[in-house]
Amino acid sequence: MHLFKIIPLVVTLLLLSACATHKPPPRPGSIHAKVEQLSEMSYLQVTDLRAVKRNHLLTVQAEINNTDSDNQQLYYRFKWLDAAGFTVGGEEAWKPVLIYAYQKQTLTAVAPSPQVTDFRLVVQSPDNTGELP
Amino acid sequence: MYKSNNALKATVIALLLSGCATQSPTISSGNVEYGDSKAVETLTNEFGSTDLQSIAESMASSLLQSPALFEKKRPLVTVAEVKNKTSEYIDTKSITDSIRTKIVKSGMVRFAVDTSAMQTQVDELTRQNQTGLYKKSKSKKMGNMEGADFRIEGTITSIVKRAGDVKDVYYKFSLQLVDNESGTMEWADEKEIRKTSNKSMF
Repeated sequence: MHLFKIIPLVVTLLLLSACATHKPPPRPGSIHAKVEQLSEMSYLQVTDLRAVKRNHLLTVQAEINNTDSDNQQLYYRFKWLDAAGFTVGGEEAWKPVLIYAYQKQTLTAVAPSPQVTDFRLVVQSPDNTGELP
Repeated sequence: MYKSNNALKATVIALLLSGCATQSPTISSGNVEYGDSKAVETLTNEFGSTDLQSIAESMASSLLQSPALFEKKRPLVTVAEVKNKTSEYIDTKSITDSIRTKIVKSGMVRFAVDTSAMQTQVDELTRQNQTGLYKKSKSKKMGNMEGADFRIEGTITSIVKRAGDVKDVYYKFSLQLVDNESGTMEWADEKEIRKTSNKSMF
């Protein structure tokens, strides 16, 4: 009888401890450090990010992988940052992209000014977990 | 004693509530609110703000990578006409204005006045030089305008199809950069947009 009283308490504590786990901050230079998800996407993953300076302008290529058997909608935009971490060129418009089932879609963008040295890719998918990434 | 205790409680609650409620600096009827001007707009499948913004961003970034602009140091460019060959009214000047703003902000290109602003330019020079109101040494001289190295011109076309309740609209925005002296096309790019709407309830 005493055991039956303890089990729910243990389960509750385990659940609470699971909720309280904090993910470590992303390593600088990793994909996660450059991607801002507005919520954890259920089926879309940013699998590759490349950046190179061409004609003085930072050019970025991102690969988005749809792991689902249905087509998925993605909304994205880039934030461009200068060496001091300030945004350059104002806010970009949100762009819609349809990604077919199991497709790997490449997104390419060019910085609006030679001052840009860094970027963030902001992504949102309507099909998301509702949890913070 | 009981009554005064209740009155005290009510006062404390009222004070707490008034402390929590912050007033926004707005005057509103409750029916109007500001939205995100950069949001994806899909109210109808006619040409909209998202189309204009995505065309401007795509064309400006592609144009800035053009070798013709990159090789010359801050070349002078002018905007010629973008012809609207679609079946709907589209303010193409607004599209080219957005493209021009993005390119100017890059600092890599200069723009000369286009044909639509030429009359204002001529009027200003005439006013400074021929009205006798300005000091000769301080007025801007006639005959010093610079001719543009390149001009930007283009077209926007659309294909609209309907099948039952489904309407499909395809837009193609084409832009090109032409060398004014040689008449050669130095850069061209296209932006395609597809929008499909379905009126059926099921």
